[in-house]
Parts: sequence; C-alpha cells; structure tokens
Amino acid sequence: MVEQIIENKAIADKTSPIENLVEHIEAILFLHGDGVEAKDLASKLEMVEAEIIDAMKILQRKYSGSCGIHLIKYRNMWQFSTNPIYANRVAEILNPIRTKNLTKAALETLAIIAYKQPITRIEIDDIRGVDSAYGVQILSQNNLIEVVGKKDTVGKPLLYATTDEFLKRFELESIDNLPSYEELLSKIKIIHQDDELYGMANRSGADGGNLPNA
Amino acid sequence: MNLVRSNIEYKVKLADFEGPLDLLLHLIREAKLDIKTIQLSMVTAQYMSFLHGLNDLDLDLASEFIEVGSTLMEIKSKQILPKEKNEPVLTEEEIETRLKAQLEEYKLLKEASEKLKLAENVDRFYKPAAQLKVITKYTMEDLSIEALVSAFQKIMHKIEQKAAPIKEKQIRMDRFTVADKMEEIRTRFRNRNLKIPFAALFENDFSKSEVINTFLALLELLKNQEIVVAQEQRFGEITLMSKEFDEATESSQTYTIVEGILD
Repeated sequence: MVEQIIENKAIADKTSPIENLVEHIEAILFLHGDGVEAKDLASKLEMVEAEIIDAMKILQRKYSGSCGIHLIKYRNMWQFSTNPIYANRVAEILNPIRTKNLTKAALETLAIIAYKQPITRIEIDDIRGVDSAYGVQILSQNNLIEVVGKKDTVGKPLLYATTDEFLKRFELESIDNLPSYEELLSKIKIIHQDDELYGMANRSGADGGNLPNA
Repeated sequence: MNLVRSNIEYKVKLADFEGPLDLLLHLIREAKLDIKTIQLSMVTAQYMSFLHGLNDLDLDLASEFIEVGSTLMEIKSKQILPKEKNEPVLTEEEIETRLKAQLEEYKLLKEASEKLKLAENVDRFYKPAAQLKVITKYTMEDLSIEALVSAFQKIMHKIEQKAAPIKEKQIRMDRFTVADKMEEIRTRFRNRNLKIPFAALFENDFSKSEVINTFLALLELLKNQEIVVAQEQRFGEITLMSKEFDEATESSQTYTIVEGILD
C-alpha cells in the first residue's frame, strides 16, 4: 500500500510540465468555483496565456459529453458547471435554486439588448412597440443585463448591455456568437438607411411628423 | 384579393401578442404577404376588427394597440383623400415606410429571440465562489455622519435654489421609491469593481423627493452593509463602493458627475 502511494507521488513529480499543469488547473478550477480568467491565471503561474488555454482545452475534452461535470468557457473565463442532462436528479438531492426560463416578453427585450447593446430603455420600447420597463427589471434582477453607462442626450438615460451571466445561460462564448450576429446587424442597418433618405433624425418624431411611438 | 374577414371571430386575445407590432406581423403572415410589398391598409380592417372584438379592454395593454391602430387609419385615410400640395407633415407613404421599417426590425429581433429561447439552458449549476481571502472591512473612521449629512444638505439646497427648467420634458410617474433607488444603486455595482462618487448618485433634474429617496436608499444599503463609504480627506469627496470592492483590481471605468450639482 505504502509502496503504491510513494510510486504514485513519484509519477506525479516526474511527469512532464504540461500534464502537471493541467492537473493543477483542474484543482484550481474546482476550488475557485467561480469563473477563472486565463490571463489572470497565466500571470499568477508565471506562464504564457496560450499555455494555460492549451491546458484548458485538454480539460475541456475531459469534462464534456456525458461526464458529470462540464468545463465551459464564456468571454475569457473558464468555469466548471454540472452537466445539464443530470440536472433533475441533482436538483432532487441537493436542491439548488432553480432558475425558470424567461417569458416571451423578457426574451424579446433581452434579444434587443443583446444585438443592439448598449441601448436605452426608450430605444427598446421603440423597437418592441410596447413599454419594456418590466422586462428590463426582470432581466436586471436575474443579472442578465446591467447598466454600462449613460447616453449623452436629454435625461441622461441609462444604457444597458448583457452580462457574463447572459453568456453562460445561453451557452455563448461571446456576443459575436449570437445567432446570425453579423447578418442581423447589417440587415438592421439597411432598414435604417431609409431613415436618412426621408431625413428623419430619430424615431420619436422629434423632427416633426406624426410618427407612431408604438 | 379579398382580405376582409370581419366575419371571423377572433378567438385570440390581446395577451397572446407581445404588442401591436406582434399583432401586425401575425396579420401580415396570415394574409401570406411580405412586409416589404404589403400595403398596410390591407390589414387595417382585420386589425381594427380585432380591437373591436375585444370584450374587456385592459387600458394599459390596449393603449399601445390603439396608437398603432390610429396610425394605420391615418395611412389608409390619407390614401383615400386627395393629396394636398406642400404638405408640411410626413406623407402617408413616409409614415407607412416608417412603420414598415419598424415592423421589419421588430420581426428580425423577434426571430432572434426565438432562436435564443432554443439556446437557453437553466440546467447548469455552478459551485459558488470559494471564500479564500480575508475580507477587509472598511470602517467609517475617516468619515463622520455629519459629513454625509452635510453633503446631503448641500444637494438639497441646490435643488431648492434651482430655477424651474425651461426645457420641455416628459413627466414621468414618480416611481422612485426607496426600494427602487436601492435596486438602481445596486445595479451600478453589480459585478463591477469600482468606486462611485457620492455626487454621481444625483442628477440635475431630480425632484426633492427623488433626492431624499436616493439618500434614504443609500443609508439602507449602508445599514445592510451592502456598500461602504469612505472619505479620504476631511471635507473631501465621499466615495461609495460595494462591500466586496477589491482595491487591487479596481475597474478602470470612471463615472461622470453631472455638472453643477455640487460645486
């Protein structure tokens, strides 16, 4: 028994740097719980970021598929999560706080913010044609959106953008990974080109005319 | 093409639609037409009969539907009436184009939201952050409650002295309860490691009650130890930060103070 333990430790000490690194990172990810930034870890371990990312990718292959734990990446952060396919049983036993899916209204509001961020609440209202205050409140409470500044216009309205929590919940690595992101933005741009044609500065009819607000 | 279907009983209700644009999109789709080519007057009849067919009118929900309905009526009526020369306001073509552009953008984003829904996953659980560091507690050693109250008094004084604004503004419902303000302040700190100057909590156009509620919210958050305040020098600027503020990794984002509120 003792010989086995000593032998194992010897193996661990003698293994090549990259394998050792992977295990270390595995341990760090587990203990830290929250997302770990590759760059941050690299500087703390005095290594190059690329080496950390390589290690993460190795771990990602291990923690994927039917494994009980998954390694996810969002923006520049890495984090362990449970495998969603086991969610129900896990929840039965451990009773974590379960989030409910968003309503249609909240999703619409969220999609608008996601594609057009940063954006003000009034601008969201204009696109949806309805008051979105409630949607914005729900999304804010769920930490899916946040205030990122103020628009430099009358009233200095708050500007909203999506959060890391949003990326995690919708399995996105970054905003660029939103479905048809480039395509959608360029289509919207084309739609608004007509605004210039008619000399309309903004939607709310400030430049005269009976433009609908809804 | 005969699109008049006022005989059909609309079993769908207002609440089935996310708004008037959603309803319009639905009608356009039902008519098997395209936003770009349709003349909106074609669906005006259905839209209006939908509104008329509603038994109970929830005014809040309905007001936006009625607004779009009136726009549709305007477009249609202008089509029928002879065109005036030198019309100063937008022609019905322009109004229609505008509404169509709005519909197109809404449709794009609505479809995007449906795709997002498919991607939504709420079945991942995460281990909460480990408590590994010693949490430093900031005490109010360098800040007296008097300084805080005095700063507050200055702001109140400014508000009272200010002349009434000459600019036309939207009058909003006073929804700034203390709880709302607390949430607003929390949002500014949420997941962001930065310091905010006391004065940045207040805007030029705040009413007296809004200033008071903001201050009360601040005191509540202090009591709950959700945020902390610090003042580097006597009579110096007061700054706020969340209790988890980490000096080492302070966010580089700066916060602008609306000019004139505190000299």
